[in-house]
Amino acid sequence: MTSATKRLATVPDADARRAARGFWRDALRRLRSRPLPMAAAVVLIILVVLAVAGPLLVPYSYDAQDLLNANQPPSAGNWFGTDDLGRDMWARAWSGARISLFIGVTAALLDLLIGIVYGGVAGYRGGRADELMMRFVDMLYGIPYLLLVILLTVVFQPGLFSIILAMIVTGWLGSARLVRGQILQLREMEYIVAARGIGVRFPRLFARHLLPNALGPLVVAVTFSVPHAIFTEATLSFLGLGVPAPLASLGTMVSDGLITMLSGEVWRLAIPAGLISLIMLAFNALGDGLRDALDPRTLG
Amino acid sequence: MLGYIARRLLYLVPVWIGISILAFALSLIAPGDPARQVLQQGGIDAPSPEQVTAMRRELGLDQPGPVRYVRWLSSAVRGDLGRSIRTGEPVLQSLADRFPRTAVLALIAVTLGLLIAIPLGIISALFRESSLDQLARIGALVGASVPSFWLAYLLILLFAVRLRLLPVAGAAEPRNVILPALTLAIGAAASLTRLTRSAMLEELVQDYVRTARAKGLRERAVIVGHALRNALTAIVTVTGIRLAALLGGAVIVETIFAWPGIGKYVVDSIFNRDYPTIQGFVLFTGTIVLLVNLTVDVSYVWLDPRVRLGARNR
Repeated sequence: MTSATKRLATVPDADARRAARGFWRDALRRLRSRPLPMAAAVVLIILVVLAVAGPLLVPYSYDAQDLLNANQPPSAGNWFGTDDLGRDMWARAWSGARISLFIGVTAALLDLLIGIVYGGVAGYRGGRADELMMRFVDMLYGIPYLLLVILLTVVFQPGLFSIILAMIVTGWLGSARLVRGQILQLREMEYIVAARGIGVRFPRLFARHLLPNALGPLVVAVTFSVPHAIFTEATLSFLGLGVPAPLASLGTMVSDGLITMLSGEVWRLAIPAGLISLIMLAFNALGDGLRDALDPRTLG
Repeated sequence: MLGYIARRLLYLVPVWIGISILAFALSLIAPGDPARQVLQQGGIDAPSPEQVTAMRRELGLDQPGPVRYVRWLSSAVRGDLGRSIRTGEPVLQSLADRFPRTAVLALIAVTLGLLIAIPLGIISALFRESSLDQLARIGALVGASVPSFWLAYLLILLFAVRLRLLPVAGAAEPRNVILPALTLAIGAAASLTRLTRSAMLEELVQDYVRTARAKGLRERAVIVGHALRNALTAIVTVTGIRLAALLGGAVIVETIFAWPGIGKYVVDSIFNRDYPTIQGFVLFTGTIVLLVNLTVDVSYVWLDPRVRLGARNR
């Protein structure tokens, strides 16, 4: 390689990086100007902080039973009340939120990672490989998602990681389709053709040029798939396939609380169900805001 | 156009075969010996090895996987999905008995969802950033974020417990369908409203809309005849996905409302490790999903002439 082509090879990289930085800065500015997504982001931060530190604020452990104080409504001593075994609901709710968030974020990120690799290869290779790979995706799409997750959880035995595993077995399909679509669009762009022309190899081309330009929709997709995973976990818990006791996610707390539906201890259902709704709402609102911010066209 | 449909059909064949392989493979990865299970179901608690071997031969389990797959598939296409280990009934019959309930629920829910979503989405897009739009957007956001079990609980509390207007659960009377359908419809309406709004916003700034207005078309014709017509492709696609998912059984809602559809049935089967039923179910719903997708693809021909023309040119 002569020094001239070397210089040429570095210029598009630097430009791409500078343009990308400007793009994200613009997006952040647009995001800041909208009250709803910003409020959602603040709520999310508070929720995460409480999920990490919340249980430490009270002198109870999430699994310490106190049968004499069972089913107590929220009070100064037990801020969220107690459940049927006298366990402190505040400690349980926040450690439950921690587990729900962990499952949601881990599943969403792993889905994305698999999707990036699979969809990236399919979109970049194109042709027959793409056809074959995407047909396999279509096939897996034919199986109802929730039922496969339920089935796999039964087969694996419920547990924190088996639940995540069951969710990602087909959870990556959406992000694979998304990434493939993005790459298909991008790979004919002049700057990609140019980069390829000067000999940039696939891994670098992918990491430096293709991925950063496809990142916007992917960030939005992850924001939406976290609440989806949290909801799926709650559904599994609802069916009795959640994390095993004494661990509790928000989903298992909801399903434990369902029996109080008619007996009146509303806080046992309302608190975990309300938290799940709040987490999902915050992620969805943030996702909406991010989508608008990253795609200025929708702002008109 | 016929060529396009034929091509779509042809495309579905390998996908369908793939689904059938996956459905069949479920029994291979699953722990537990079906022969032993059948014997235990028949009242023999501790079957002898000879009995198990005999049952394995009787069920054809001593054959290699591919042979069993071909046998299973060839009886499946003739309408024989085997018998349930749990109930002993033919699987196809059990699924066919319960499917209408699920289909009724899904169709009502999706129809109701569309009836709410399309007008709301259009109004929201037309009067963008108005207080009406804000309200619709927040409503849709909340609707899309509330988990179905929580929504179901609230609806039961309001309509069945407080107002005593509707039954809590079961399927004894026609009005039993209202609450589960409403639960599903609210979720569908929320996401379809969001979609309709953004699809309409995308169309309303297009040149053809300006042209239609410029040539003096009434606003109504511009919106419904042009903008909505183009936005419909996206709406139909997502509606199809939603409908297919619901036709596969709304597990949670069917369970809460004790609605005897296939979703609840298959969850019971999963817990009992009733693999013939699970396999049959996966094949059954996989087929339905493909048929819904085909319908959606065919509807593009009518919605978007480019598909028709593109097919002819290719």
